Amino acid sequence: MSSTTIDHKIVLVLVGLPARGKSYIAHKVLSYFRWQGIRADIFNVGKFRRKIMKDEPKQAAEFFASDNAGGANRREELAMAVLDELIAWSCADKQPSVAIFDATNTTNARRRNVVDRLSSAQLSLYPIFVESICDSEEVLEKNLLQKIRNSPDYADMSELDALVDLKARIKNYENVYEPLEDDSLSYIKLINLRAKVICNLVYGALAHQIVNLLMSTHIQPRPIWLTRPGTVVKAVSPASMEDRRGSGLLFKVTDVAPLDEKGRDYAKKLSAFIRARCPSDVKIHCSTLGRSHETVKDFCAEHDAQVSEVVLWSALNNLDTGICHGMTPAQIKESMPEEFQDFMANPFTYRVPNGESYSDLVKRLDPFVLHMERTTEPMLIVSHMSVLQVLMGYFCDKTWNEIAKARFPPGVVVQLTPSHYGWKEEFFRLEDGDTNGLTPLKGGWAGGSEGRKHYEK
Amino acid sequence: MNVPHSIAPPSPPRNIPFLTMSRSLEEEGDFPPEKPLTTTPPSLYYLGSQAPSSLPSVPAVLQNLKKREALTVSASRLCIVLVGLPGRGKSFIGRKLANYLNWKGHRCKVFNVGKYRREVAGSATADFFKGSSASGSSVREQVAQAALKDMFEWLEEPVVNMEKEDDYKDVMDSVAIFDATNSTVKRREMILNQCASRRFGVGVVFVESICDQPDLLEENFRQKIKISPDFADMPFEEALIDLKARVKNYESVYETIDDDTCSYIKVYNLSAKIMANQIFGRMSKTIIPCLMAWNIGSRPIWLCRAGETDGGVGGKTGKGTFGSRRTQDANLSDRGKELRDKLATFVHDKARTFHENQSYTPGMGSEKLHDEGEFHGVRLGSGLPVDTRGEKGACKIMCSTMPRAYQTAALDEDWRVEQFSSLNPLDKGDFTGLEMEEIKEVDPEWYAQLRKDPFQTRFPGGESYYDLIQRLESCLIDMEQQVAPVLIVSHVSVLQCLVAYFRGSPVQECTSIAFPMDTLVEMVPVQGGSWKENRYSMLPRSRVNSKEPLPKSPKSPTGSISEEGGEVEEGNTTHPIWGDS
Repeated sequence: MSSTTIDHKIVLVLVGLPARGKSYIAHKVLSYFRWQGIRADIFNVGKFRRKIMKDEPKQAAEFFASDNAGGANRREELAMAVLDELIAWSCADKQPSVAIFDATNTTNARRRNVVDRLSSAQLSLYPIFVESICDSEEVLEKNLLQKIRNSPDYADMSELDALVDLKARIKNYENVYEPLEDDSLSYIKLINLRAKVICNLVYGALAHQIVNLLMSTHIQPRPIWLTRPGTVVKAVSPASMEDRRGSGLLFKVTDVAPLDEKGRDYAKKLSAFIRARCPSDVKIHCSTLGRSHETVKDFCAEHDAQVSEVVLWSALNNLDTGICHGMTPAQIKESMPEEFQDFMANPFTYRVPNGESYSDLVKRLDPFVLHMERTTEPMLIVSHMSVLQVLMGYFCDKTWNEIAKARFPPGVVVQLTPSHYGWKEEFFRLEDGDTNGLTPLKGGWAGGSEGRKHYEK
Repeated sequence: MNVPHSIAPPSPPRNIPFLTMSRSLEEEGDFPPEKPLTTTPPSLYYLGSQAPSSLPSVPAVLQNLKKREALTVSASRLCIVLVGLPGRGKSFIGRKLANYLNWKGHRCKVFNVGKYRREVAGSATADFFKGSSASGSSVREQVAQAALKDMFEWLEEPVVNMEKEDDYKDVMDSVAIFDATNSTVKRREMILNQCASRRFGVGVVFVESICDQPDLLEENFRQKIKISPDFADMPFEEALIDLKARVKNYESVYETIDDDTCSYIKVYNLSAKIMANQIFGRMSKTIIPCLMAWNIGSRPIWLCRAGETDGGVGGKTGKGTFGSRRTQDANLSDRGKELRDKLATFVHDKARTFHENQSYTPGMGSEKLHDEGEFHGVRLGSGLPVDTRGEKGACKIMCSTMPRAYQTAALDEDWRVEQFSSLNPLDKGDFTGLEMEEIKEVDPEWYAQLRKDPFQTRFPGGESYYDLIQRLESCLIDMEQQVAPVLIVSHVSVLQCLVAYFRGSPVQECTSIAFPMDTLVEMVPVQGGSWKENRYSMLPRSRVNSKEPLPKSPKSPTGSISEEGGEVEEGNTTHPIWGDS
């Protein structure tokens, strides 16, 4: 029974003419689900075509002409070959998965073929069509130029020739293009930068997550800054604390400790840093721990008019380490060697008794990440190591292993800005004496930002 | 998405990649120069270029963004205008939305024009609703105006300022739901104009409910007649004829929304299909997941606290502190195990009965599945069939990450138990492990604050109930979208919040809801979108029966509720129950 729940295995079938942002959608969905620890992959027909036909001469627009029977058959064959690969991949296990079929899929006949083939799969696969429609000439023109500059198909063609060829190719698709109208299919239609969204028969938690994600993402450029709070006074001397310790209970001693001098200094620098880069409204989000709020207080006080919102989210609080709370790693190793070993062996899924694992943290942060995607204003997020690791994991497409092992050093601001298929990260260390506070860090996060590693096959 | 992806710009890029549209360019000077971007090498095509998007200079995009900005700003006062013929589930949507938004801490109220009409004209027959009936239409216009007036007055009431302004800006968002047929373009334009002319901007989102499935419609009509005061003293058949005539009158003038410049959401057949146009604001955004999740299925939702524990790992901590972190990793006691067994029997029985009788939800694009004449499941939309053959039907089980919750929830090997840390108890931050009395000693000031406002007072470095609501949101939507029974095993604070949602009681008072141990609270959907509550005592309350005496827990509110919490929370204690930690 449990293996046949509705939201188990989704096949996202993209529909749309070239240059409609299909691959953008594909990559967003891919990195989102990978971050959630759900198996996901893109099956791109164009890439497959180029691989298979690499020995043949480059395919010019004629290949895509609708009246070119040979080309049409060939294209159908290629698409089905990729689809078979997709089905095999989806049926490899019984865990939830999201497979993305990235091709134009512009005709009803093709879409029927896809549905038929999917329904004959060994396991039940749930097809959801995602159609991207754009009728703004200007946007299209930009997208086309972008595509030409990036696509291997046009690597050795002059820009003008390429544009003519691409337009001819799209024309060929347009001739046969049939928009999704069959209301017996599950589909999500995105029209003009998702100004209008239509969802038909989309059920299940996993599918709803896709809708939420697609409705949240937008491409308005704005920065997101991530940082850790300033350092706090280490020693907690009051007798009351000692008393509490004496009772054998464990405390988050540092949760209430005030910032020390260095921490206050950092708060000032942070304030100047943000102010210098963004005179407009900033949405500030911090954890409910005292030091986070204290770190942004300076900024709020100085630039009251600019701050539109300060929100304390308990979702941004650090990883709940359960029974190990308030202990240093050395203490844990000493008093609970087994737990410590398990944690080191599998930091992402190991849950400290009574607390959370990193994968729990991912679930907890999911609504917040969508909130970040949705927000159009610049954002400042002050949170803690574990949370920032997980957030960076999403924005920089890190694998689970990398997330738990990466260090997010204190005193560093990470600036994220939307880039082509995802986000671009920049690192700034706020150093002494540099009033502008801008020293980009080399190497980036987790010892070298190689970019989107897991897209490479 | 049709994205004007950043392309390598021909001229040096603009230095303000992230200013909002309205900023003037003079402010550019403050920004550090950026290196011009180079063309992305072709190999990056699949990897995603790392170039940041530049400010789009396409007029169409600019226009869209401007509009978007305007819509986002107005979100603090929002008017949700329901549109649709009678019997299309408008009030269902209105009520559910109001309940949900109130629970989330927004200020929300439904303005039902039908109610105003009844006050003015009493219950009216179909003639009243004829397009040609002059007296009818003038009265209808009048009552609509009266309702609108009240609505604006309510929207513009100064909201009581919360003491901690910083944290509770969200609370002050006001949402009015205008519940009437609003079936003509003219009427909707009138509303739009009125909203635009107010001193404070009032954002407008139309929610149109469309229903074209005859069987679902028939069912809706029947329900409407049963609950509407208009038909209270009419025989059923007569009422049905009258209602159909009324609907016909509306149908003749009905104009569906097709103005793409305004924000609207169209819901077809109660969430089988949803169309969202220009929906950007934060508030509007909250609505979509709900609309997609809600269904009129009749699955029960069971709430239960985690079973009793054996008191912690051998009392390592010295003091037997009930509620300290040490005791939380404890395993179930015998009594706890007994609860689990009882729970398993209960859930098995109920789930089976449910699937045999009622798993079919009309109008959701679903169909019953039969195998040689024998019912075996349901197919949802074009999705997968849900096979309910065999002894047990499907049941969604969600629990917190606490071992005792998991142990209580693990009823059956076939039912996957999903653990969510968002179902974990309220995080008491620095006061973790302290009893209320100890807290009173350590920090009397804070304690007084807590007494005064148990809902919003945040534990230092931890959470308040308000925070808890925010983190429960996604779990709640997950529960709402289920069509099979759901079992939640969690802890007092979380369950209090959930019960407040299902009851529709003021969420600020959720801290006084009693939720005794070993009790199962069943929530069953009733017509019109609310829930009916049943309580089942799973174990005899007396502890004499339990084989081993419980470790003595210090006097604390915890002890008091698990022992004296009654079937119904009459005579509520006025102080919060911090029972679970």
